[in-house]
Order: sequence, then structure tokens, then C-alpha cells
Amino acid sequence: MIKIINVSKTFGNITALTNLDLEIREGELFGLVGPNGAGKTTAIRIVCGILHPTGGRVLIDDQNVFENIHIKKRIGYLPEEPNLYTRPTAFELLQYFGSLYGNSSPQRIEDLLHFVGLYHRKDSKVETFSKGMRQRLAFARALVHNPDILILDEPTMGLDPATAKRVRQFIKTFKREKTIILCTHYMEEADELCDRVGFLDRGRIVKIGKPLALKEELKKESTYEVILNNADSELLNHIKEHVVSQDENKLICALNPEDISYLLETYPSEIFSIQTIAPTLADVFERYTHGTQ
Amino acid sequence: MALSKMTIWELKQIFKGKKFTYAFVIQFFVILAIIPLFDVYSEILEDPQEIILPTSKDYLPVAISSSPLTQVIDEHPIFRVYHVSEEQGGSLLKDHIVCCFISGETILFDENNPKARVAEYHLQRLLQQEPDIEPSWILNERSVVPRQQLRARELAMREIRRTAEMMQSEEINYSTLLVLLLAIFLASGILVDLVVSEKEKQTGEILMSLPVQSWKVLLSKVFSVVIVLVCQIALWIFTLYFLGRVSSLFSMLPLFLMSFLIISLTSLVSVYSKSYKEAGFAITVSYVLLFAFLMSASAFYVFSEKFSFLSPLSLVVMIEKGQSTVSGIVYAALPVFLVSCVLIFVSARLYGRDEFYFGPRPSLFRVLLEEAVKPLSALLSWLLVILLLYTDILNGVVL
Repeated sequence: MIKIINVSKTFGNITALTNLDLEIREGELFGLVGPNGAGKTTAIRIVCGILHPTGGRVLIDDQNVFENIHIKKRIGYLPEEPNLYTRPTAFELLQYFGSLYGNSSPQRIEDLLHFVGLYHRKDSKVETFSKGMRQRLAFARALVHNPDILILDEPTMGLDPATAKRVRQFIKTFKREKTIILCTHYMEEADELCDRVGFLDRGRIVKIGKPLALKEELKKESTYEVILNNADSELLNHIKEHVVSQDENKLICALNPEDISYLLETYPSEIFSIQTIAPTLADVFERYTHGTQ
Repeated sequence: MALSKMTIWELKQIFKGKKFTYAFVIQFFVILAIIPLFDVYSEILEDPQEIILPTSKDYLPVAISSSPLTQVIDEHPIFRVYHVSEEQGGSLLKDHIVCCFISGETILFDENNPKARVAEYHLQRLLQQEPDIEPSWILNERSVVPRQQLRARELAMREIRRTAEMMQSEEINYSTLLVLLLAIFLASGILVDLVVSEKEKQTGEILMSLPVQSWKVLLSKVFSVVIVLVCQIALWIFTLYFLGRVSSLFSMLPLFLMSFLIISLTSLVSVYSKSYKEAGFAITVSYVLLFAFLMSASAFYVFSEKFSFLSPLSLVVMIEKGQSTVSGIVYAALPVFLVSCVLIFVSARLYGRDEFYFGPRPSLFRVLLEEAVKPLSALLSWLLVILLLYTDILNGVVL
């Protein structure tokens, strides 16, 4: 359905994306995850037709988004910040954007306001809304023309847990019904919602797959939590290549059983405890990307 | 359809904004307050004794030898008086140290001294206050001989009389119209707000994701501002017309032209700017340059009566002098209108480039190269190809 073919984007001397190739299937919820500055927002802005790629093309059902502007009618875009006009009321705002997509029936707008739980505030000015309310309204704005593609950039970022949960519920409602690209920092969110996940690092896709399959792949190496007595232990020099993450003297390592036996024999006094742990998507993220969450 | 919907939306947003309401009300009061102020100013201009500025003190050097005017002239601050004998007065006049010599009831002017005309004007005003004195106006010998100088003096006198008449007439009230520039500046401010705020508040990102061409987004903003501006200027002009401050509505045409030019320049600056701060600085600089150019171009027109197309202000002069013809007006107005259209076109093109929203913006030089030099060189190449083909065809025909 959505094909990103050899897409590159540079801003002056800075390369944001390098030969990005990606295919998203119809009805799929695809998660695009990566550290800050990996190029996630740039990639989805190109898919939405907001940014022109320096090279390559984006096809939606074989039609280039930059050659056929009407393709944009099929896309609902929710940016990282709600970015809404603040002077109009919630109803006026949705009606305006709906009219630009040719779909501004009052019934549709009222239904959307009910859906995002803002019907009681439909005649309030947007400037009086809290951040969570604005995000929900922005979600309604992205859905106002009933698009079959939803592109969501960090939809739960900066929201309190209850509102974030509510937004995740909205996303789940449209799973299978719409093709969704979800850009997120939250691994639990990607794990919970996405059918497939693509890890983007330094403008390139470094790993792609189903969350469960990716975790299973990491499990083959076995992940251990090693707690050391001393954070400056010599042991670190021997296993530094296998360390996935470190929090002072607590290490998460991808090791095989022989390595564990060797460590226990060689450094018995430096190890406080060792236990196996089930890998999470965050471990996969750290394994394949250079940055941090 | 999208363009009209967006224009109506922008208009609604403008009228909803408190900034516009406040600015509109303040502007209205400024315009109303300025009318009596100009009346007072024109009254002062009619009485030159009242407007002796510190810089004008002792401006006119005159020599006096036992004249009934001595006391009146002594008290007038604009004159620097030399009390001399008849012989000394004559030599001071010949040496161009004084611009006139008053002896008894006779006044001699040094016609080679431009200050003599000003002195003559002021003395005339003083003499009107002293009806008992009837001086004979005698020209200096040297100035009488060349006929050209005499002609120059007559013209100068006519100009002085015309100025005096103008001061007493309603024409001075056209100066009141200068305050209408306030409306243009207000509209420019609104346009900057509409364009730059989309970048600062990042609402533009949503607009770019809509199935609407970017040039329509920009034009909707420009159109809404132009509508506000035209209504506003028309309202002010009709108000001034009914208050008797404007005698010809036709002479207001250049004001609309000016406003279109300023709005188009503002749109270009706003599209290029990434923040209010940047836009404020760039607009100040560009307005100063624009006004310097327009004023000097119209001044050039006043002196030479050539190149009226360089400034719409020349058109005001043309209409005021009664020299306007349809072809003259088109000649003077069309270039400004076309330049404005080109500026709007370039703004709309640049508005579609995402670098002006995201990432590092290209330099002015690069923009100029890409937007002007490349299309121009392409156009020239095509012209060259056509010319070569044409020459070939001609040769073929000849052969």
C-alpha cells in the first residue's frame, strides 16, 4: 500500500535519511522507532507530502504523493505537537479542516467530538484546552475526513498516563480498519500496538520485523542480568562487546552459557548475582541502534 | 473552492483577533485627531511670523538706513539687521553680504541671492500690517539688465503667491492623507502575523499536509489582508471625502497601488523569515529602502517630468497638476502593479519550498540563483534556440 523507495533527504549539509526503503501493507499498524534525530519525523513528513525528498519517491497505491495532491485526502496526519489554531472553537476548527477535505457535515464532527470525549467542550475556544484535550482534538482533526491512512507522530508524548492510555485506545479502535504508521519513543507502546516495527537509526532502517519475532531473535543469544559488586570491575573489559545496557553495576548482557561459566570461574568475587531475563523490545532497540530512548 | 474557504477563514481569524480590533480603533482615533492638527498646522503656515523656528533665526541678512520699517524689522527674528548709512548699504548689497537694502521707503533686492525671494515674501507680509507705508519696489541694477533673471524673478514671485494661496486653500488637507499609511502598515503587520505565526506555532505543518497547493495557502492570506486593507482605505477616504478633506477620489488611486506594492513586498519578506524577530528587522530595512526609492523617483519626476513609472507617488503629482491622461496613468501605474504581481508570484513559489519551514534555509543568493537566474537562463536558451531555428528557416528560404 505505502512504498517508500530509496528515499533520501538532506537539509543543507545534514543528511536526515539515506536510501530509505520500506513497504507498509494495507491494514497494518507499523511502528517506526528510533533514537532522537534518527529521521523518524522526516520520514513520515515525506510520506505525508509535507517535505520533498532529495531523492527517491513515495507511492501510495502506486501513485506518487507529490504528483497527485488528491492522495493527501487519504492521509490523516497527527504531528508531534497538536499545532492547532487557538482562536476558534473545537467545532469550528474541525468544520474548517473538514471543509478543506470536502467532508464537514455537523453530524460527522459531533460524532468525532463524542469519540474523543470533547463533545461537552465543542463550543469552547481551543485556547482554553489543556494539552491532553488539544491532543485529543488534534486526533479528531486527523480523522475528520475519515482517511484510510493514519500517520501518528509521537501521539502520547508528554501526556499523563490516563490520557496516553485513552489515545492508545483510539489507535487500537482503528487497527485493521486503517493503515497506520506510528512513530514512537515508547517501546511498550510499540510492543503493545504494532504489527511490525522498523528501527531507524541515523537515517537508515537497521532492523525490521514483528515485535515478537525480534524478541525471539534476541532470546537465542540469551539475555542475562549481571549485577557486579563493583562498577569498575575488570570483568567489564572481557564482556564489553556483549553489554546491551549498563546502569552503574547492573549490566544487561547478551551471552551464551559458556561465557557465563567462564565468568563465574574467573571472577567469582566480583559477581553479586546472575539471572536470565526475557528480552523486551527496548532490548532489541538498544541492540540495533546507537542512541538511547 | 479551497482558496475562497481559506480566505474566509483567515478573514474571520483577523476579525476575531483582539490585536486587529485594538489597532483599528487606535488608528481611527489617530486619523480623527490628525485632522484638527493639520488645520492648526496650515493656519500656522499662513502666518509666517508664527513659524520662526530656531534654525530660521537671523536667516535673512538685511541692511537698513533710516526707514520707517526699522522697528518692525528689528523685532522680526528672521532678519539679521545691519544699521548702516546709505553708502554702506549699497556696498553691502553689491558684495552680496545682505540680500536686501532698505533705505527710507525704498527696498533694493540682490537678485543673485536666493534669500532675496524669501526676504521679499516676508517684507510683503510685514507691509500688509503697516498700511501707512507704501514702499516702491526697486530692483537692483544688475538684476534688471539680463532678461532671464527678470523672468526668473517673476516665476519665483508667482511660485510664492501660489504657495501662499495653497496654504489658504483646502489642498493642504491632502497631507492628511499621509496618515492613511497607518492602514497600510497595519495590514502589513497582519500579513506578517498570518504567515510567520504559522511557522512559529508550527500550524503550517498541518496546512502543508492538506490536499491544497501551497500557493493557495499563501494567496488566501494575501487576499484576506488585501480585502481588509481595501475596505479600510476606502472607509477612511470616504470619511475624509465627506469631511471635505479630499476633493478628488480619483487622486487616491496611487494609494491603492502603493498598498499593493507594500503588501506584496511584505509577503515576500514574511515567507523568507522564520520568526517575528527576523521579519520585523527585514521589513523595517525593506520599507526604508522602498520609501527612499519611491520618494527619490517621484522627486526626480517633479524636476524632470520623466520616468513617472518608477513611483506611484509620481502619479499623485501628475493628477494634482492636472496632467493625467489615460495612457499616462497606465504608463505610471502598470509597472508598479506588475512588480507587485511578480513579488506575489515569487512569494507563492517560495512558500511551497519546505526549507522555509524546516531545516536550514537557503541563502538569499542561492534563492535568487534558483528562482531568477535559472529560469532566466532557461528562457534565454530557448530564445536562442528559436532564433537559431528561425535563422535556419530564413536561410533555407533564401537558399
